[in-house]
Amino acid sequence: MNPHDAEAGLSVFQLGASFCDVTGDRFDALSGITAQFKPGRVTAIVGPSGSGKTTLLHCIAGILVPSSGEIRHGGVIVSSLGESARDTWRRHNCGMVFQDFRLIDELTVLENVTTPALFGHYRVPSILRERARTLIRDLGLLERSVSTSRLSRGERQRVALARALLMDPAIILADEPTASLDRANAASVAKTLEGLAGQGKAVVCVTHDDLLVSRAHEVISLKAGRIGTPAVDPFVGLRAGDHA
Amino acid sequence: MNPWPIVRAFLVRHRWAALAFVFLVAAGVSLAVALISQERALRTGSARAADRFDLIVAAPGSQTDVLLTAVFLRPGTTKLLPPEVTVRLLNDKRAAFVAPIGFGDSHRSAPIVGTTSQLVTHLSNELQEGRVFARREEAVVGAASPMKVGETFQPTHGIPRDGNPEEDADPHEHGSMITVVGRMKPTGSPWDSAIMVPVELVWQLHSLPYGHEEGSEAVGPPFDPARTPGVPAAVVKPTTIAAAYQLRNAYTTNESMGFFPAEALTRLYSVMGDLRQLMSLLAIVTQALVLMAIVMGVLLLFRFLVPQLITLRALGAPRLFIAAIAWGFTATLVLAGVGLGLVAGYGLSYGVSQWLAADTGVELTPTLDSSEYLIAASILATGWILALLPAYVVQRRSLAISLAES
Repeated sequence: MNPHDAEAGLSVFQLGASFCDVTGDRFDALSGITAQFKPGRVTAIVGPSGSGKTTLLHCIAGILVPSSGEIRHGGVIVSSLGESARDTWRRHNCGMVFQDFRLIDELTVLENVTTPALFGHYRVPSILRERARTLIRDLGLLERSVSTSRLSRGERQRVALARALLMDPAIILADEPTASLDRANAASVAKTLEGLAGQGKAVVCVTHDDLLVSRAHEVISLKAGRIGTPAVDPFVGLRAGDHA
Repeated sequence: MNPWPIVRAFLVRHRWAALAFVFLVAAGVSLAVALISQERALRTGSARAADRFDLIVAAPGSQTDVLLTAVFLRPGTTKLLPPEVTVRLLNDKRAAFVAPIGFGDSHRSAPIVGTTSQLVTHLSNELQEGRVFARREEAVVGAASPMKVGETFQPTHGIPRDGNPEEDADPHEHGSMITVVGRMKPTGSPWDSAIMVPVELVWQLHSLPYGHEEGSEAVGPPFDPARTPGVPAAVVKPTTIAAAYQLRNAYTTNESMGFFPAEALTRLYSVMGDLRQLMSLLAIVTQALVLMAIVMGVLLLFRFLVPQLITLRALGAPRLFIAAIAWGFTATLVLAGVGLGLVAGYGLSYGVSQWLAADTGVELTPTLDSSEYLIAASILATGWILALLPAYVVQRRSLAISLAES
């Protein structure tokens, strides 16, 4: 199957990424990765540490340029874009959620959430400010005028989620979104991601969390930079409301 | 695109480090500005103080010593002009007036200068208050003198050195009671603190012939050639420029020395050129320290900002946006530091001027001139260029590696 046949969504084809180690020898962090990340579906990328999960996520986001292969989103070959164009593509199409949240602690909750709006506007447009407030409210946060460093880890992750969603991106890329959360917060985040897929977004999560994996429509298992098992939905027929 | 909200948030969050950086830059700028401003204030202030002293004739010796004694009223020992030279000078027709100057007494640390009413009028234009002295027991005080018109005092023999009358060999009050009858307008010179009396009084108090017939109460010219003693110096107001040069040449002999204070000051400045160079060197060293501080500050502050800038890049922020934040943060601090430094430099120069004016009586008016603004502008420009460094480094680093490291 050539994943690029799909009309919509994000796909990677024969993706490879190689780096030099400290001795100068090249090694393949990713090799021959072919996968499709469809709108409306949650894809979990699993695998042991060092298997290339984050590298794949960074390639998909355009943060890292693959050594070989292709990343395509709609009609755009993301992997062939220059750095500025990839930044622009990521800004318009990807909502990034980082493992350690990567909030800007100098800013308040609302300011953090509205940060992406500053990239293209002199002032945050009122419509985006209102959207930020709605997201904050919907994610169970309070719009407090305090630094985000004062928030709990669960709250910080929800702020990161709200920030990722502000520009209403088609793709949500989350790196270990539940890694440092307690069970209740992890379940809440998983439910939110599932809900985002329900809104038609392509959600891609790097995770070790069984809870998140169990809610994913697709699971890509990486081992030493290669897909270890086929990218299939392991829970077909088991999940209620499955819309694959 | 508007990086300012984020720059402002960074500044607020890291305010103590930012303030330390601003103060460091401001300290360096202010020192450089104050040094140059003060040097100029000293030059213009001393030149202004000597401005109304066209020509001075004194006994041969150091022009600088006579200048300091006669113009800046600094205590010193000067030889006396021989009486015959003094008489010839006092009656020289090429001069509009010749005012002898006599020292030796004081009152409450203020020097008493014996002279003529012509010099008082010349220095002050018109008096601020009262009239010039017309009798020997009358005095005119400088504009800054605490004494009031109508007040009386007894002159004390001796001039305090550095304000300490204890150092005088024989401090004692003369018997005469003097009344203040007028106050001069400000001259911006040590004469503002002085007490001017008829030179005849000084001669009389020191048991010298007092320039007039025995028993005469006259003050001022004409002086009796047979009864005129030598004087430490005389201020000459020539009738013309040509007369000024003629007088200078005529009285530059083995017995006397004529010189223009302005020329003497110029020579003094040229001798002090080395000091000026030293001050300029200090200013350059200060600037170098400021720039080093900026580089160190940039690198230290940069460490605070890197993770946030990496995050912004990962979120898809345009490169220009990242560069504007990285540059704007440091550039704002440099701007604040330079601005504060200019103000503090002026303040420092003003404070030093006040202190020196109180000590010397020479009015010093510090100003900020183009050279100080040039220093500030050059530091600002260099700081702003150095502020590009973090922006450049952030752009150069691999985003993926930066994300992994930060």
